[in-house]
Amino acid sequence: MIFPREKLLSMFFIEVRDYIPVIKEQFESCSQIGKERDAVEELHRLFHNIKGAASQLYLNKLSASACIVELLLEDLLCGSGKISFDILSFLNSVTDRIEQYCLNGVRNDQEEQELFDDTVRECTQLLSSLSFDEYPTLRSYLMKNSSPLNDLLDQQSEVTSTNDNAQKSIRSIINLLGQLNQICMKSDSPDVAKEVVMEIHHSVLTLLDCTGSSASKDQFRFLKKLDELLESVAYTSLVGSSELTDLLGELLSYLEILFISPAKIKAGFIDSIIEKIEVITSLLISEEKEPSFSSANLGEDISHKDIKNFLSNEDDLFLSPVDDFLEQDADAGIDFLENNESGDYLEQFFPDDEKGEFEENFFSEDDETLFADPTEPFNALEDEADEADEEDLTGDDTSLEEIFREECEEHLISISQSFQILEANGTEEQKVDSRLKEALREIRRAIHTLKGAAAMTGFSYLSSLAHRSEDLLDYLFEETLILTPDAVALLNAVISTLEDLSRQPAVDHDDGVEKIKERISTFLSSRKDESTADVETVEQVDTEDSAAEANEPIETVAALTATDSIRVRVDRLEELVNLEGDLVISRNTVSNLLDDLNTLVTEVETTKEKLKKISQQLEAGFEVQALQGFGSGGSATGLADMNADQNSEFDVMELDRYSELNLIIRSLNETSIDVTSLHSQMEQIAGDIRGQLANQSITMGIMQDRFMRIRMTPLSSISRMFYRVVSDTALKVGKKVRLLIDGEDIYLDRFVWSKITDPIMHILRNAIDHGIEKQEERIALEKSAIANITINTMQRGNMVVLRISDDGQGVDLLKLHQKLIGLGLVDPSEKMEKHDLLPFLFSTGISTSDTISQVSGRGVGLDVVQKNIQSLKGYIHVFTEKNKGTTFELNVPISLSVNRAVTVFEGGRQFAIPWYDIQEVVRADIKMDGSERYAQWRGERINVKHLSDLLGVTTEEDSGNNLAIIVRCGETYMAVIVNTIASQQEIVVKSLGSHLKSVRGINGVTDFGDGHLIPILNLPELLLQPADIEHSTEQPKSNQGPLRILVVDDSISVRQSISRLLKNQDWIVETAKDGLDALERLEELTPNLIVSDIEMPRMNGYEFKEALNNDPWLQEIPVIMLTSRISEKHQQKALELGVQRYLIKPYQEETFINIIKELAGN
Amino acid sequence: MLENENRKTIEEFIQNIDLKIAEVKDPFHSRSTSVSQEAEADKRRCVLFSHGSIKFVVPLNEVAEICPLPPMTFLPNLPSWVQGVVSLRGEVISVVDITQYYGWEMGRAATGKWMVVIWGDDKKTAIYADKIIGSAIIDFEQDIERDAQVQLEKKTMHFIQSCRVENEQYCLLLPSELLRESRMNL
Repeated sequence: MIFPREKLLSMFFIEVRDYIPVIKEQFESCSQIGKERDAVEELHRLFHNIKGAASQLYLNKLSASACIVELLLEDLLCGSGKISFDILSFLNSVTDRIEQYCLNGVRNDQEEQELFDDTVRECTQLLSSLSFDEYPTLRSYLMKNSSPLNDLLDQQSEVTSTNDNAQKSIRSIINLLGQLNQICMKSDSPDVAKEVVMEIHHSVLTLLDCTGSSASKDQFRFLKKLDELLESVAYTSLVGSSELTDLLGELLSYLEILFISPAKIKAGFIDSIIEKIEVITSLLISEEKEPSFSSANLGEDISHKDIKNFLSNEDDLFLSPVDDFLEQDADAGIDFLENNESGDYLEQFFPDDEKGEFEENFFSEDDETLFADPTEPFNALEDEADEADEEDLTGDDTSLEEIFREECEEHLISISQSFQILEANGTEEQKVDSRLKEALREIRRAIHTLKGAAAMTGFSYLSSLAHRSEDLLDYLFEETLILTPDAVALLNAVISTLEDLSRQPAVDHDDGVEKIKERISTFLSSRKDESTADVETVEQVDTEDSAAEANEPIETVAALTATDSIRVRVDRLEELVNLEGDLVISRNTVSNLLDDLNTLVTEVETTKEKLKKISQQLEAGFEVQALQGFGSGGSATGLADMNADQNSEFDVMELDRYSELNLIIRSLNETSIDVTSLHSQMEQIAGDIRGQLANQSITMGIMQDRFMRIRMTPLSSISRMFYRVVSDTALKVGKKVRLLIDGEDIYLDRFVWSKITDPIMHILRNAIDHGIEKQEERIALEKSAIANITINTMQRGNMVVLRISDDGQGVDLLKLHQKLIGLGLVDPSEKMEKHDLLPFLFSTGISTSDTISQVSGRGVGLDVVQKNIQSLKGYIHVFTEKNKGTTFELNVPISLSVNRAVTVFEGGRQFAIPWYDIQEVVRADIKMDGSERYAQWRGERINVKHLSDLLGVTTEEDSGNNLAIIVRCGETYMAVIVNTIASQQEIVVKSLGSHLKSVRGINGVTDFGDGHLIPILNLPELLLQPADIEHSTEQPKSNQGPLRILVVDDSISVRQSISRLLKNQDWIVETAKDGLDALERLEELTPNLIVSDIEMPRMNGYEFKEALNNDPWLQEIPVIMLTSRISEKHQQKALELGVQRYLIKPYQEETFINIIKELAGN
Repeated sequence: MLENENRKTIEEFIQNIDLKIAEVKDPFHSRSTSVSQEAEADKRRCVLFSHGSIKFVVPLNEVAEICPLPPMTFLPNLPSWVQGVVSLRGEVISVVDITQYYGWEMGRAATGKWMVVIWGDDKKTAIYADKIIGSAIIDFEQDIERDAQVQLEKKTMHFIQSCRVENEQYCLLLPSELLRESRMNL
């Protein structure tokens, strides 16, 4: 469980307060003869704990204070182990201060700083009274952490923002230098040093970038030369030497002063430094080009010596007196540089009276090397940014353990992949060539990173195992020329243990881990003895390889530093996928709205044509009348007469005379033309929207695909488990088996992988235990002694096919048959072919093995394997050939969250059926056999069921389509008759919510965009599991299906508004424009209720109701008259015709709905 | 006019409830608000609603939302008291008819226009409601009649207790219990 930071702090303070009495008790024991050493050991442990826990919570100063005490005690333990009065006073004093600090129960930086300052001051006083030589660890620690450069950085308050960035880079360089120094001291591998130099180089380049044009000429020149030098250094074998480290240290200290106090540097001094750098760079470059140079003959190489000599001789030039370097008297920080020059700060410092002042500057604010001990769990405080990240993580209460596990996964994948290279010929001794070396290097790197991460996260036990494993890897990488099978086996065991422990990183003790540690120790001690005798051989044999390695490009490091990936939590990704799913739904909504718009456009077109026609008729009629009027001497209108009078000089045929009516008709014509134009524009816009939607659809399809890919992981992410299970099982049963995996780059949804991992491992174990013969049998059969199991993965459409094949003896079909007969599962007289027998392998309790081992043989498993695969909507096949082997073919969908589905209507409701359940859709020729329905499909008789029966819903009359969906149910097929197949489209599968656990036959729901959810059916489950009697008798009353209502009105707006209201009730609405139209619709459907207007073209409401009354099928349908006619006469007429309700527009929605419910009996 | 006023009142009421819910949900203020002080005294703000002729009380801090019932999807193979599922801003929520769960006679027709979304133990479900009556502060020490059987049903009702609010009989729903028990009966 991960606590928020405040809680952790509180827990820490309580923990320390608990330590204090124990510490004080130990102080008393220190004065008791015979108990001193135990007491010191206990004190050491307690202060070590305080240090570690404090650093974990970023109480750096408190941690540093405890660290000083710890080191003091460590030195004591190495020496006499006795505590003098002075030391005891010091310890008491520090303990009191720590107690006081922790009693406050809150973090206080000021108090923490004071605690630290007091501790340092008292420690220096104490040390001045003691012999330095007796406290080497403390002394060394203080020396290492006495970087004057940090002090200088802290004291400079006038630093510009550019210099802030520069300082950060320099700080990181300083830390890196510290690491480099340690590497040199520990004689670590040059590769590790090379990595550090590369990082220093990177920091210098960052510095160069961040200073940019604001850098002075000297700064820029210096950085450029430093850049060139570091580039050369990184590619030479001098990289791990102390000379180069010293040189870099000096150069970087000049660099620091160059940025902090450039004015104090004497003119021309930088020129001389740059000149020296150029000389060294050129020397290094020439050395690098020298082909004979290699780490193997380092000592004898002349050019190397030249460089070393040069560096030694030129030290004076670089470490020139500060007076030469600076113009003015140095400030406090520069004073310290003078001390630095002598190389022994403490010896110079402590005799001085002003040592307190020194100590104040002793540890800088950002002194991170306090925690530089790689074996300490809390050493890895990186830079400020990292610290901030950590705070964020803690602040968010994010599960660090979870993050750690995810990180472990990555490292373990990398380790596993590299280990496969070592294991490829793990049964024989292998010469450690560059390929194996690279693999060892990668494993060591991954374990090293894992160790750091474990320490950082507080999993010290795992960190300690990783640390021990590193020792083994160090040995294998640096000192081994021949990789023996036992080394590979040990490494395999180490990796397995690391993997196990990484799953439970919080474990603080495990016997298995301890055994592995012991095995490593035994192995190393035995090998080290041997290796001393083999030194000469090493040099002779491996010269070429070493040379090749020395010249290898640093691709691994580059790859490490240039990772372009970030870690994202899966739930956040899920969130994005859900949002994307909502976008799909929204797009579908727009698409549906567009369909409505198109319907309206079509209606507008009809109306437009009608308008045009009426307008033309009116115009023609008027003109005819006008002409008639003219002919008879009368006039069509008074206005026309007026016009005629006004223009009497014209003959009526000579001049058009426009009356008011004439103008109206013209206007109507123009309006008709406008409507035509608007209609065409609307059509065009609708077409454009359709086009845009199509584009959007394509883009979203791509987006969905990309999202799905993000959620997916390759086979390589889990393949190490398969390698492991094969090697472990093979070891257990004493067989030699090689696993080959093809298609590790095939991606599947994480969920799918998690579901098929166990089945695959089960098949692998079975194959090794039963399928693969013993070595002698294989040799007798002229097979290779080492058996092969292959996992071949490929993608087929939306499915991934995994073929797991072994080259063993195959399934003993005869034995299987006999077993089935023995169990009474088959008729002994029945002749059974291979394809008849093999499916029985997936039956419970069937095994062809005569023996039961720890690995397999109980006949339990393959049935579970099949169930697992089927739960993923996948299927499994088995193929076998005697003495050639067995293949299991697993077909699983790539993802379960997005699928294609067909939608069907049943009982007035819509359901979705996923594609993966559908084998085929056919028009079935259904026949009866007693009460059973069946049909022929692909030459086989298959049972037929109606979907409405499976769902327990009442349905309308059989459409007679006999549309049958062929569904695979286990090993058989069945046909499901559906009424209507509406569409096929992509669906986003949603769960049924947090309340409903599961519903039989329902996989989930999907949203097509109009806010309605559509159930996704699980047809195999519905077919295989009989309906629950209790549930079927307790169906919700609404299972009769939603109401189907026919709305008849000539006004499109009335039709729309009523439809909207009724659809909101989840009812199905059909519409008709008038009575005739309605009668046509009624030939196709039988609604529960009709809502009709009275005044309509072609056939009005009364006529429509009379027509209904004349039809015995339709007369029972309740009718609501919805009209604006309020007269008693109309109402009376309606009631006479048998209309159930007469409602006046505008209606009250609630009343209207209630009346419908009442009449339709819902 | 009256209808508009009523609508306005109910909207304001729901907004007020939402604010209170937000107040209770806010972990940084939960210790200092008056709501928690009331809780300390075992007085809790509750939502009152009715379904059919039965009136219910549910603690506000266990109400996630009150809203008009969205279009519902009926699922087959479920007991009748689960009316179906709805999509509430993309989240799928089951809708329960609490009166059917215990087979109560509702007296008059229920319309189920509203739904009260309750939560507990990381689970959510919605309860049909005809009318949102209002809110009240219930004293859990005094107003709850612990031994009284609601609506004379003889079934054990862990999640429901009789409660009096302003001299009227209400059924106090305990969402966590309701969710737990109803899930067992699915």
